[in-house]
Amino acid sequence: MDEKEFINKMDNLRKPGFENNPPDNTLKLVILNSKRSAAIGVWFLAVPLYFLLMVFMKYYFNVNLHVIDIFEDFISSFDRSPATKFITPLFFIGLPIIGIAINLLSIMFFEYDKKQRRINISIKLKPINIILIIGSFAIVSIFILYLIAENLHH
Amino acid sequence: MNLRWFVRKGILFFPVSIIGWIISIACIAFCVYLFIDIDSRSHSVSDTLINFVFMALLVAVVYSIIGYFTSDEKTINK
Repeated sequence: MDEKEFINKMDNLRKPGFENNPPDNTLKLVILNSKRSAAIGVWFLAVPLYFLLMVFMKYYFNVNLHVIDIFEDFISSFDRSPATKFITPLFFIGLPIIGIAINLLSIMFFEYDKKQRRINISIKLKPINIILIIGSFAIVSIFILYLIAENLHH
Repeated sequence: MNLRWFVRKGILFFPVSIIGWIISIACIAFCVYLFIDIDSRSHSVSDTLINFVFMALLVAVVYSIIGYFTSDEKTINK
């Protein structure tokens, strides 16, 4: 291949264009609003977090000033009656799980591609929602691990 | 059904209609009742406050759930 032929070949090369990669201008509709979900997620996380903090203060620091007695009586009063037995797990496991679900749905986009028969899932990086998901997951894990350990012990 | 009883600002839901105001006032009145009830059974100020905060949080959760479903916000995330 001489120089002229090479220049001709290079001149006739097809330049890469943007026609195959159109900008992502599709409007992605989420199932839930992320800011509103973050707001409710904070409240759902606050209840078990407060309980954990109080129990931690009582048992870790070993200070028994009968400060959280009414609080503990209130929680255990639900467990005594079969009709209200579901309320305690609802507060400490149910609410964070709902918080995880709400926050996940608010940052995830689902798109079904008919041609290729696949579902495209994209996650928008919203720090507040992700922090709430991780926090809620941690709280749920702590309570579930506690339940497992407690049942194994007995 | 498109309800618009509350409007969200940050993590708080503020009432914007009569029903919203009724719910808010009812929650505040219930919190005051809870405070008086807990205070009558508690041993100290910290006892009152610790137990009251937990009960107030539960009221706030219920209030926020109502606010979440009755605040009008678009579902398009920017």
